[in-house]
Amino acid sequence: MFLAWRACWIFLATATNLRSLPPPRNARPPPPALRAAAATAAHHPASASPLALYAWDAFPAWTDPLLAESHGIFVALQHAAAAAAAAAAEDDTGAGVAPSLGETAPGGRGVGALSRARVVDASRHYRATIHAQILALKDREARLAEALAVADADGDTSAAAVAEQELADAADQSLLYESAELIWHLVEVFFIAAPSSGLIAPLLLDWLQLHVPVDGVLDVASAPAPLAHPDFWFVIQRLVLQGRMDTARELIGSVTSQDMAELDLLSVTAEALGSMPLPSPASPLTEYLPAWKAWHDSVAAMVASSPDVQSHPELSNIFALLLGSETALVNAATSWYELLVARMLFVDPAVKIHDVKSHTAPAIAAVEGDDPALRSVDLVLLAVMNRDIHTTLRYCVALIGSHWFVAHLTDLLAHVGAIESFALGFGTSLREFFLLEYGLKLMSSRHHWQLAATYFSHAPSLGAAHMAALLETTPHPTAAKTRKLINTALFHGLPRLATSIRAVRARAYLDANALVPALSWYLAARSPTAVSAVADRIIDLAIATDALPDLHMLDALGPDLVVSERLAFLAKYREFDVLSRAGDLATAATLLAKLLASHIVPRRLVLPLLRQAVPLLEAPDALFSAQETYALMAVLADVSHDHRSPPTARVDAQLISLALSRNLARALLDTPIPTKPHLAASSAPPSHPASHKPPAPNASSSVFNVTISADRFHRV
Amino acid sequence: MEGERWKFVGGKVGNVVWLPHGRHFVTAAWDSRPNMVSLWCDEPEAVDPVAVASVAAGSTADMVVVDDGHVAVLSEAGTLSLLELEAGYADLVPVMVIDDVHSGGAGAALAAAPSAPLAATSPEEGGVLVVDWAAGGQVVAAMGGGPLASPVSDLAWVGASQIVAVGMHLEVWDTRSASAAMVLKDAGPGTVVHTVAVHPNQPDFLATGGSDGMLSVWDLRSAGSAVTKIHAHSSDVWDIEFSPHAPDTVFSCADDGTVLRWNFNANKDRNRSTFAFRDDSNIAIDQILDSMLPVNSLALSASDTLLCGADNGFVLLPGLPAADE
Repeated sequence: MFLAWRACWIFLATATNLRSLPPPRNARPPPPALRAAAATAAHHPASASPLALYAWDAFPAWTDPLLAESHGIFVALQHAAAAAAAAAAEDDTGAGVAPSLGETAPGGRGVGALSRARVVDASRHYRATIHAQILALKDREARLAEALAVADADGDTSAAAVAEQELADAADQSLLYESAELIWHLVEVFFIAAPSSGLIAPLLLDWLQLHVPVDGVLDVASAPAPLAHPDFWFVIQRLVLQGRMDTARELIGSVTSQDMAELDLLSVTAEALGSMPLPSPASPLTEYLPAWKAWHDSVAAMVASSPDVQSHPELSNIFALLLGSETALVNAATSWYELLVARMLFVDPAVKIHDVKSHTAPAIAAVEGDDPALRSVDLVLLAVMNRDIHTTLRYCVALIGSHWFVAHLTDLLAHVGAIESFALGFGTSLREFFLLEYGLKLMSSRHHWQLAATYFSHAPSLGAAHMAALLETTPHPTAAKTRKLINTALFHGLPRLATSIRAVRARAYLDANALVPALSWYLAARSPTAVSAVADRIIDLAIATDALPDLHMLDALGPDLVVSERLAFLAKYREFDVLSRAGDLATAATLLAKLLASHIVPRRLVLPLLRQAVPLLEAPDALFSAQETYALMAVLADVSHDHRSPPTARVDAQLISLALSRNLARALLDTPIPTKPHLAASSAPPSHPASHKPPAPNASSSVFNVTISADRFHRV
Repeated sequence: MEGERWKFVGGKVGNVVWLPHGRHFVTAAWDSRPNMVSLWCDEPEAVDPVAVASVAAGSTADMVVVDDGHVAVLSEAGTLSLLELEAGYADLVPVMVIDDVHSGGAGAALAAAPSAPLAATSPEEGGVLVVDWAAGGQVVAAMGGGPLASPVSDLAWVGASQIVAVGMHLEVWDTRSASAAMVLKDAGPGTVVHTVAVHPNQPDFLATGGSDGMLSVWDLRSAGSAVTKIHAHSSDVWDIEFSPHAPDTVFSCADDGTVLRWNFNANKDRNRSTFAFRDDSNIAIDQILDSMLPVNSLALSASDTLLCGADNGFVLLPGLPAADE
């Protein structure tokens, strides 16, 4: 397994040089005030400080919602996949075909069985959780900025320094999450949604509009005279470039002017914007392309015939954009990918998913110059657009870390078949590798063990080993947590592990001198020697403290009694104790005789138990039958010949022996004479009460090793 | 589910309680970092519950409402804290903290007396202590305990002086005699009873949930085994709650992440209380929730709003489907 990890890390190692890339170049010419702001907004976190990378990996408390929600999405997706695979397998067997590949593929149960739409849906959910995280981080930034302002106002320099550092960290974090969202969405476009028509423009337009905001729209729109606002034309240009035609049209429509000619020009522009057919997944290329061409030609004709437009510098710029003028597009774009999408809108609307990679290099050259200094994020986006999934994943690992992000993304990619589902050279599939990586990372924060267990459980080849390691190392200080660990172990088919977890809990109770809980956990762990040891301690303590009747747990042991002889003895002895306390002496005597004859009594307790029998032996009614008395005599003989017995035992033994003899005399007198001849014939008189003979076939009690022939008295 | 709401709390939610007026609830985390006790406001017109205040209190074993202005929290480490809801439910402040209340035992269960400022508390290892809040948290009664005590998972008061402790079996303790008044047989070999709830109108009836996924009903008037046992969940039942307004309705939640609603009088038979009688045709079961991770705790507000706390760090307020007609 070690080799497998090593191989995979070599696979990923080439990505590390990404971190040493130079910072982004500020390639734009000096813009108006807002243009600078827009450029910053489009500027995605290139090389956020190294600290940010580590913070992403370490799961601080504020990542909890992200972890929890993505866990939910992940599990729901796997369940759906398993159900789909099961349904497919059912259909297949119905048609007499071999079970579906998804069931047996090493990629995981049901991987490959889901519809693309379902996977896209899951991908959107993941993006929503990332976005929620970004919003939460922005919130935090705002609060920290407030705290910083307060600290500054109070002149508290140390608090200000702390707040400043935290603010910087939070800003780094939100930048990192923003790039994560940007990359995730683009991967979704190219690999997960991957439209079968190949027409990519609508999805890319969505992607651009969602992640590259146009700033200043509200400022301009709420100005008393929008046209007079210094950024009016800049905002319109940005909106047009991103295909946000409705917003641009509304903004133009809100203009009031005394100049009727200018108003006319504006309304012509608004019409041109409004009539532009935009790409949408609903309209096929065969409809969209002719419509777009007709619109393009009509706008071109209109501009050619309108000298007013040509002489208006801002409007001519807007129309140059609409007509796809290279200079206008390059000037308006703030990033190479914005230019790329704008070209699809205004120059070449028929770009297919496979063609995108041939359009990236010209876009980069146009925006960044001949010697582009691309940022890490740019490299990832490029890899995605080149449809090179392995490079994409490598770069993601380097930029964002190998855990949360890549694990979930790779899982989605496996579900749509975008990466190999078979085992790679290092023993597992990529999906499994990243799931295990993420699970291991979760393991490092102990309280995430349940999440880690889920990810391990969906790793088909090495998951079980990881699961065992996880459950073995997770501390369980309480019974409830122990139950949860055991349930997890049993659910994932690790019964031996469940047993050892129980034994650990039992041992903890034993160390705390809580004997009853220890006993019950050892019973659950099926550990007979430990059960006997604890039962021994309970016996001594219960006898010493006269607490036998309080041991209610013994009532309910049922089949567990046979686990250990000691435990069986304890339960029977308690039964005897309860019976004799209740005054049911006859039943108590029978029970005691059986107990003593059954050889499960600990040696140290035989004599005390016999001593307890003395009052019963001396009771007015003969409580022990002759058979039982013989059995007791045998037990007494056994124990009094034991050289390890203390000297006082001899005195005791004599007393007990006397009581037994007296009881035997009475019992024999009470014994009825058998009338059935075969009974008398089949049994012979014992030579000695202590002799161990096999029981007679028809003897009423076969529990005892001593058989008493009932007619002995009459023969003598 | 229609009207289902949820709120991310953070950490694993081990316990939830509604405050009596039903507009605020308190959550307590366990096995998390950090383990916070948090106060939430859930105004009827609000979309989501809003966090009001929180305080660190260690991994929580159990939490109860003491009165309108106080909740008590027992930590797994055995610290018993009384938290005051100050300034019109704007803050949560510890006003009394008793460390190691069980002298080394891990905290397991806590129950507030219905009509006195008393709390019963138990360590996992067994035994019941009664603490008097009015006397500064002094222990006023100690029952059971010692190396031969049976383990305890949950406690409930029955009337003003009896306490039911469940674990390997049901023990009924009486604070006046400090002895086990009664012991009912357990649920079966090897099973543990995790949770107990007392019928709001007929305190002789108890409902328990165990490690075998069984929902059991007990009648304290007939010492013996459970009167009704129904296979409820596929895994450990962690909490059971009676609906305060319709006591024939019981909610249960389990380790498998499910929350069930049991209507013991589905036929709306007005002539008899059918709660204690096993009559399958009269029991209706609805699944209210199916979470990915264990649901640990339930609470029902005075207006019957169900609150569920789960290991995935959420509190869920599922909209309850109308009972079958």
